[in-house]
Amino acid sequence: MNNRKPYLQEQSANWWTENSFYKRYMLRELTSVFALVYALILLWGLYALSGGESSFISWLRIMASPGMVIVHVIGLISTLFHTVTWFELTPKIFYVYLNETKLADSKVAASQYGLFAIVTLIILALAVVWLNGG
Amino acid sequence: MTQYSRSHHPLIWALFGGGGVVLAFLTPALIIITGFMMPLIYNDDPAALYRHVLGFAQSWTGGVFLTAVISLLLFHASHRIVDTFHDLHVSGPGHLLPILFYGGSAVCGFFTIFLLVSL
Repeated sequence: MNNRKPYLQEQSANWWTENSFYKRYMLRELTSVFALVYALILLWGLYALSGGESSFISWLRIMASPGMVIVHVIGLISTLFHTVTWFELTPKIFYVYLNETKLADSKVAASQYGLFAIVTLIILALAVVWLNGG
Repeated sequence: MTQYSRSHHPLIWALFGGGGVVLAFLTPALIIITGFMMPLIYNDDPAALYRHVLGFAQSWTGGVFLTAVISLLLFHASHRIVDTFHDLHVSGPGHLLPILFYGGSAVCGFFTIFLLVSL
């Protein structure tokens, strides 16, 4: 027999609308929907690529349509918001020690932004060279 | 003696964390390339673009890169979506939501590898 009577605090399903911190949390969680959509777009492109030249070109045409451009604009904004929130949470779970003192969260965040800028510039530069036939 | 079963949490967390890193560091640049540069800017010779992209996908580095990006993004997104359904008090019939999202991610991941190998 189980005599456990745990106290369960009531929580409404719309608890997250109560304050701006919770709303920002839900907005961060929402970025994952666009991550899913973009991963499926990439998979779709790969599937089109495996179907040969004409199927890849029709995928490219769909990507150039206004609707898909809007999807990518929203996806880019959403992903950049994820980037900001990810860099905020990393110092909270990943402690960096220098000379036995913990590196300040702001410095860990700043180094990530620096790395992000370098990685993004390298990828875009490689893509420009590569798309120009280099 | 109590038998402890291994938790699946470290595996899920590794996939979630890996996907979060890919999404934060690499995805903005990738969206600019595949969403804007390829269809809108470098579209004057689509046949050449097809050969470029095919060459990239057929290479070892390209194949591993695409597999990692697609499958890690799917796992990251699935983990957050399943968690958020829980936060929104949507528990679904049985284990439908986790099976649908984690299972779907695994199927899409294997499909990615299948497509890349068959190129």
